[in-house]
Amino acid sequence: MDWMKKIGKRRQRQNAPSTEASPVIALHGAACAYDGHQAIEPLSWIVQPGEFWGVLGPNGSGKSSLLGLISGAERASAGSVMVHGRLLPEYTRRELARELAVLPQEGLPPLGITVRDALEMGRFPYRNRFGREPDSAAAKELLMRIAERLALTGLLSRRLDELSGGQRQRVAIGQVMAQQPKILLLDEPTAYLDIHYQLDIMELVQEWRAEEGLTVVAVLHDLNLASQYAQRLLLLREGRHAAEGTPEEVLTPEVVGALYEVMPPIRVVHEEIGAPQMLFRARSDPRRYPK
Amino acid sequence: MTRRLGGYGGAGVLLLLVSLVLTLRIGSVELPAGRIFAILMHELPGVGKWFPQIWDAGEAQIVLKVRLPRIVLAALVGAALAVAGAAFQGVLRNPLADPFTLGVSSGSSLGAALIIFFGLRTAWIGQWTLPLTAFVTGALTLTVVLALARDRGKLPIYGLLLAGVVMQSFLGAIVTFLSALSDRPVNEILFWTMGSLNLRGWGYSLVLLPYVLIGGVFLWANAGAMNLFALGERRAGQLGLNTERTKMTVLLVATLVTAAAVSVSGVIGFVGLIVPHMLRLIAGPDYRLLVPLSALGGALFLMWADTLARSLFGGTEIPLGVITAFAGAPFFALLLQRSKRGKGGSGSWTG
Repeated sequence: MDWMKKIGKRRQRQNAPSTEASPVIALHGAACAYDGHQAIEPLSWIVQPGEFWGVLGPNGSGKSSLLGLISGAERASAGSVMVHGRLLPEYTRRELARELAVLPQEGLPPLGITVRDALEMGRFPYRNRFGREPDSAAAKELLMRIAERLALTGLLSRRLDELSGGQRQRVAIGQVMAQQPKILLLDEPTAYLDIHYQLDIMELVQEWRAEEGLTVVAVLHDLNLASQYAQRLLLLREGRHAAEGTPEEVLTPEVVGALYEVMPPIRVVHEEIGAPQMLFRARSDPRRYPK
Repeated sequence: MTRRLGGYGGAGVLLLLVSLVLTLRIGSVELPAGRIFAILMHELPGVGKWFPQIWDAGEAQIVLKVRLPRIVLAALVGAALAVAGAAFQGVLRNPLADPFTLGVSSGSSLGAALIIFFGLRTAWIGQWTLPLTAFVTGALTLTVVLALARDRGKLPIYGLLLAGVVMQSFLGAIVTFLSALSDRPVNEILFWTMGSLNLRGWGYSLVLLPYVLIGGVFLWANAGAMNLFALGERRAGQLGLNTERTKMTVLLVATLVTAAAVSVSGVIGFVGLIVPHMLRLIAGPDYRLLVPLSALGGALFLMWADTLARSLFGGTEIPLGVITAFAGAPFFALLLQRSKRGKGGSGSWTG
């Protein structure tokens, strides 16, 4: 399998020691509450430059709230969130959008705008009041490079509502790339895609990370995908920190079984890529399966 | 984008100039187009001397003092309402939003009617009294409509329309009540409810012009932001837009532009609905094009609508609001039908 070899190579790259520098994202006792419901209990968490973090947890464990907290969509109800050593509320939305980009779960909506328009929107944080950019030639070239990279060059004049879901997710990545962020947050970016597009998206993110030294935090549902791509994992349960570490450390049958309330899964270390893979069985319920 | 704006904008300006001459022709006294053109050119500084006066003073009077001020005012009111409509649609992500359907026009007309009823036309701040009072009541109405329609932080399309209709009929009833109580000539207040540009001199255009110019440029400057709103407010925020502040300022400025138009013309419905939508079909959903083109399109639309209003039945004038309602209501029904099927130029239609 070709893509597996590619992933194998990537893993070696991932295992290179990360340079010790000031953290890119730092949460100190940060909590998130809305509608009187505590979505995240006070949480402390440090992300170093260039790391690829996967965030795992069952539904309602606060994964998306955590991304909301880091992306400034939710305000910390307690504690603090820092990005590049600066408190989040001190950023304007525009400044933050140059540091940090979010790839939405559902990609872009099927609008009547063209792919070119959608990519240009990624440059919004760099534009002045009248929609001009200081160096518009460079911006144009950047967008062309992105389009080429994502194989969107032929689709630039097509409308989003004429594209497939997978293509629209590619355009969404292009829009996020146009932001030239240093941090990328992914909110279950592959939830609605088939395996082909799932790997497509993850591969693009990996390449981008390798080239630009991007820091990635990804909320993922698929444990196998998470263990293949993420260097480190943060496990959440009911808004609380459940575990963190490398996939090898964290994805043990006991931890995963308890986290998702399933039978301890069968753990297989992938022979080529070395990542722990999991097979699951539902926790048997004596009422449903009387002996 | 710039090239397309140049193309469509140039065509729009040309149409506007041709329409200006053609609508000036229509009236109780027939005037040839060539002579109207010459009269207009004669007034322009610099080129005036190339067009020697070969017409009698009466004809020039009719063109410059009677017809032209009214047509220019129609163009300004149309531009104001259409730009405001495009802006409302942009930030509320609702293709059926316009100054009329949101109740903003009715709210503004109530303020204007109150000022007239109590004889306060120039009471506080001279000629600014009427438009600014209309702005305050228009903004209050918009606040109430949005509060009524808001459902768990969202603005559902039907909720917004219902709230707008309720406020419209309630405020309309108050205005009618005032006009019934008024011992002044009834027409003056009553006309706010159905809009008219009858007997409007240059003064009204001068009052409206700064609102249209400054408000229009401000809304145009926010067109890029309106484009982001189409992606959803969450995504717009992620792309660096301060969505709450942008929404607030755009809604307020669009209301101010509406109020200024209503205070000179009364309630003229559907302009802000028809014009941006027609342009969306022609030029696409990009608000950087839609906002300036709506100004041109609105001006064109109302120039011709007003010409119909004053000429269709000879001497008897039809209120302008009647003409736009005849055109607008079926159009509204069509848009509503399409929004039910969930398709249309502006994409996602639910707030």
